[in-house]
Amino acid sequence: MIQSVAIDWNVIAPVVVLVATGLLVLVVDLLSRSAPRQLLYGIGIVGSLAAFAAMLPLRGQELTTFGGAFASDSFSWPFDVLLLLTLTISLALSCLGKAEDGANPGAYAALLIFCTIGGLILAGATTLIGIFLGLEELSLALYVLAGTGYPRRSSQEAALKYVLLGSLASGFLIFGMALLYGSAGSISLAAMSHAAYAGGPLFIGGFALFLVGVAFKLALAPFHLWTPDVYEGSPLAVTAFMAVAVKAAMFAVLARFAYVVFGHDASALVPLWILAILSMIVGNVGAIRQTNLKRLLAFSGIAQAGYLVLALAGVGRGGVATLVFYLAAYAFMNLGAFAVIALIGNGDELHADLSAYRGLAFRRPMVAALMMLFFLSLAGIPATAGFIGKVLLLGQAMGAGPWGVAMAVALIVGTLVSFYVYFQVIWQMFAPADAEAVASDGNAAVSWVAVAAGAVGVLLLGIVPQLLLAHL
Amino acid sequence: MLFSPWATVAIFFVVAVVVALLISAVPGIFTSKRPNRAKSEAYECGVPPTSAMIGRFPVRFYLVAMLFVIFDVEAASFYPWAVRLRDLGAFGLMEMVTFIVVLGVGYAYVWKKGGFSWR
Repeated sequence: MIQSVAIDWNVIAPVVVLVATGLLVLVVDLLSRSAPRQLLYGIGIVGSLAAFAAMLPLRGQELTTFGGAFASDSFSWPFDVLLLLTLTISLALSCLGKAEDGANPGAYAALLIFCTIGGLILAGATTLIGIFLGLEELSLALYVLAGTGYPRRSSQEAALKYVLLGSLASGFLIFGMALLYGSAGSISLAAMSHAAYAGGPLFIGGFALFLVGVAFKLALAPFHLWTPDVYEGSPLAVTAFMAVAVKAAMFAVLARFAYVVFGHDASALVPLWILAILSMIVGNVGAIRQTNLKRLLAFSGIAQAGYLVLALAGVGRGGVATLVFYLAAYAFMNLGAFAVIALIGNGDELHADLSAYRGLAFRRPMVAALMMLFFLSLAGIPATAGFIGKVLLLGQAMGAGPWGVAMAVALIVGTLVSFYVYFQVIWQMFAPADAEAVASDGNAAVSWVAVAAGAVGVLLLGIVPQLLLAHL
Repeated sequence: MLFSPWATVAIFFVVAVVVALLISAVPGIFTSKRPNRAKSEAYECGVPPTSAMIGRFPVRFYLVAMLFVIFDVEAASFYPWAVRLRDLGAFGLMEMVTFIVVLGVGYAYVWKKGGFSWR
């Protein structure tokens, strides 16, 4: 006799809403020959907001469904909000006149939505199968999205590099999962903690391979080499999505894994601390010579991923609150910076080049001021979200033994190096403009909304962090 | 216990390696080799080969292969449902309808966008 699995539809309501939205976008694209792409992206944005509405009643609840394989709890909730925020802003930036979508707006919007569904599954997955399912849903759609700048060579290069290296990483991940399953005898993370306690070569080997796969997706050094090329080649809105959503989803997985499996003892996470220190060095030093803002933000993202790992030092609920706060700060300042790039060029790719920002402070003082705000926050200057986030991270790391202190030192040194990187961009905006400066007169309302959302987030979290911290 | 339970795995591994090596080494030792040009050619059912064996072929073959995998997986997931049709009842039917609707929208999209036409 077959036992039917009880499904609590409320728990997966956000996922269901997004699936329906994705399908609706495809159907509308099919039925109307001349639907403007703004309509399709608009449907996506409405669907994203509807999914957020479906999430509201889940707040503060600890629910599971599918026999405990999928959870909606205080753990996954904040990550889900960040994912939906990123989807909304990416879709908004895709509406701009010169934004690239591979001449196939229906498929483009649907893929962005399916990516987000993968992220939601990752944030809620409590078994190895759930993690792999979410990861592949996220990755497969992103491989295609990376190539949607199609006629552009760098976009094709990005897609190819991402799919080849991403598949390799998935191979590592699934092999690691097989070994973890072998050592624990169960696919559930909760059962994994006994195997972690016992140790043994099977578990250690499995965890090592699992960590390699996760580190690749998070772009932690030395698994970061794909990042600058893929970020540079992908269309602007996709890069913004990639930078924030993939990190949010993968950190949700890593944090849940660390908390559930190594809750009793974080000493097995030393390899992760080493990856974090390497990332902080590689990311900040690598960013120094970049003349393309997408590449610069890619290296910055590598360093920020390293910072975020600090939140997991001395695993505990306090660590998760720190992680969510810094991820939120990271989301606002990155989405804000990408939105400014999209704003001044009306979504084109030319304005990813640093030379386009020469003299911007004199031509468009308001835009330059906002760009400065986002880069000051990335650097971690007081009164911005980045500063509070780094203070919280330092506090978390200092209480976590010698490795925590080592990471805290790396964070401080890395931040000092990154001042040079970020102030270089600000310096460019105040430098006298070249004669052949590209026109930076984009002024679309939708990109202003995205920029404003980022600016409000950065300032609110920087000045009154209690607004968010009180709820974590 | 005389042997660990993993001993069988080790024995299997050794046997597999030894047999594979033997099978590939023995003919090389005992056969006579008198190659000529015709014998060394790639075998294409007796027809003289027209091009190099390793070459580039159009990317649309990959497209066909991908579409095949999608419908293959779809068919594979029908079997367990068909076997347990009565036990699963209305719940199983709903699950299958959801599955087909999601797949059907994708199918319609690929069709309408010309994914099935051999260009």
